[in-house]
Amino acid sequence: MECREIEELLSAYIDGELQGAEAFAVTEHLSRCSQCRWELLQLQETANLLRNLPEIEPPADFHWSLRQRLNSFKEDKPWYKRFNFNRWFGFGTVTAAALLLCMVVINALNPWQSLPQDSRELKQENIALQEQVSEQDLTPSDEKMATELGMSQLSPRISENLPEVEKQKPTAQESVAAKKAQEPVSSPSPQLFLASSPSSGEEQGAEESTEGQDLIQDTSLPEVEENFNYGSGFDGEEEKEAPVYLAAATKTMGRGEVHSLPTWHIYLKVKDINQAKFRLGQLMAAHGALIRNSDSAFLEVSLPVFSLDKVFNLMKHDYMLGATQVEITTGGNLPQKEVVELMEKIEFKQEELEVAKDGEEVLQLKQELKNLRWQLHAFNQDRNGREINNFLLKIYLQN
Amino acid sequence: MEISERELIALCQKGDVEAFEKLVLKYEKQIYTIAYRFMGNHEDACDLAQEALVKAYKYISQFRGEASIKTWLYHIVANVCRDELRKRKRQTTVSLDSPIVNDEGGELLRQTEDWTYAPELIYENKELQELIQKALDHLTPEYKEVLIMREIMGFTYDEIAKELDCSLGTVKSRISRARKAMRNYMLARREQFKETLRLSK
Repeated sequence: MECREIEELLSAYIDGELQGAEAFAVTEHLSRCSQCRWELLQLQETANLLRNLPEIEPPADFHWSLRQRLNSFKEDKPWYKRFNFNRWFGFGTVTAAALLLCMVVINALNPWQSLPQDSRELKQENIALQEQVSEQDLTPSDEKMATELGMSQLSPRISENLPEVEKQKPTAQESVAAKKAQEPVSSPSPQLFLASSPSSGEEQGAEESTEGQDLIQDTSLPEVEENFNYGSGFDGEEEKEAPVYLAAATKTMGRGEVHSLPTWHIYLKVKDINQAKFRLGQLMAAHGALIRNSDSAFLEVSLPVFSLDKVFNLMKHDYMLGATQVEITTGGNLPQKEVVELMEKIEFKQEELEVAKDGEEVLQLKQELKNLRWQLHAFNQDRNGREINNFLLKIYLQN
Repeated sequence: MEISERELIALCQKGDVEAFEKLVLKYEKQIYTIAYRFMGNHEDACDLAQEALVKAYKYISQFRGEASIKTWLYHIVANVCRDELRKRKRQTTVSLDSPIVNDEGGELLRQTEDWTYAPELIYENKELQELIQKALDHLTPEYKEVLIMREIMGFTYDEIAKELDCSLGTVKSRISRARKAMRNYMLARREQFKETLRLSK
């Protein structure tokens, strides 16, 4: 890619919001282009200028005048909303009246019953109903309805005047409809997007990862599967399915299961541990990883297999991570030598591919890379031969 | 005994103004700051932060607890301020084509680097804070809102896209352009800023 294209991506790169291939291309480019590195620094500094701004103390009378506005807002409410029915009428009265109203509405809605009826007859019937009803046990939903409809009992004409009753009907329906409508109205919990949400500051990053941990611990699902399909990146479409996604992720993260995931230990020597940890969080999020655990100089993530070599490459070359030394070893459940050799081969081919110009050569290299990646996949099996889609990365940061 | 936030919210939902005031006390500084960053002066910030809080009180019965109360309040104050800015249709903008002063690149780099790695410099320096706010005020409302949401409110790209009802791609490119516009403004006023610093010493 050319400088101009890279420049467009730098801002999202800072926020860790680039997809794997793009992030990789930017990292590669930055390693050899000082102009773009300068541009990146400039943008990062601009972002930091705003992030580092202190909070502003509201003026001394802020709270006092807020109180005035709140109180005057409260007084703006119509009289019947300010009126506390429960205090003035006993619970029984309100409930019975509400039920009475329900009966009237049902009556009014039923053309065969209500049309031929004389209003006086109706009144008497309702009084009878009221007596009957007040003897019954009242359920909590009745109470709720009573409070919702409570104010309607004040209309004295209600049982005498059918058109009036019909006017009340939509009100009752509206209040139920409004209640229903309220339920789905919500903004998504930021916690749901843990893996895809790069944080804006170090503190927040830490906070998020602990939240993630809580989330994991709190979820105890029966029959936890070790194997799950984890999407590669976080493009728009996948994000829409976040809840399902999260369920899948949480499933894998069930306690105890993770120990059987192939583990990598990574020791990073960096200039600034906090900065590096923050950046790692961004990179991991951008590659579909889930942060499982985090400490002052330690990060444990579960990473999709196919992102592994990209992430390893980024650890070595990411400009903002600034690792001066990267040491990678495998845990007991991975054949260290073979896997590392394979990783090296992949890296080597990747470099070759970068400089290859001839079309045929490129095709051949791509095929070879594909084969090597498949070989790497072959290691991703647990003891029972089931394929595992995630690796566990334990990252230790040192100065 | 200290009353928990959840209990406070429940009380607010029953219309308890005092509970609401208690709840607000915890977040009013952050909310005021967001309003100030949007509006650039105390008078408007005060007015709009309060308007947002009255709105929050009005609609708190609809708060279902899926997001944190903080995020919910942030959304409201951002909306109130954005509406106000749209109403005023401020025209002062920074042109994206304005040249970058980079004839002494090395020095520029060092200068800005100082700001980056020394947040305390910003904390202590009123002039610099004012300059940054001025830069924000000179951006178009579209640029200003994405920058405030991203850097001050800490929203993710996804949250911003939802808030603005636009695609992730739009958010990406808008944040990128906004940062560049902001950077250009800061670079162009670097000399002026240096002068202010010298005089204030």
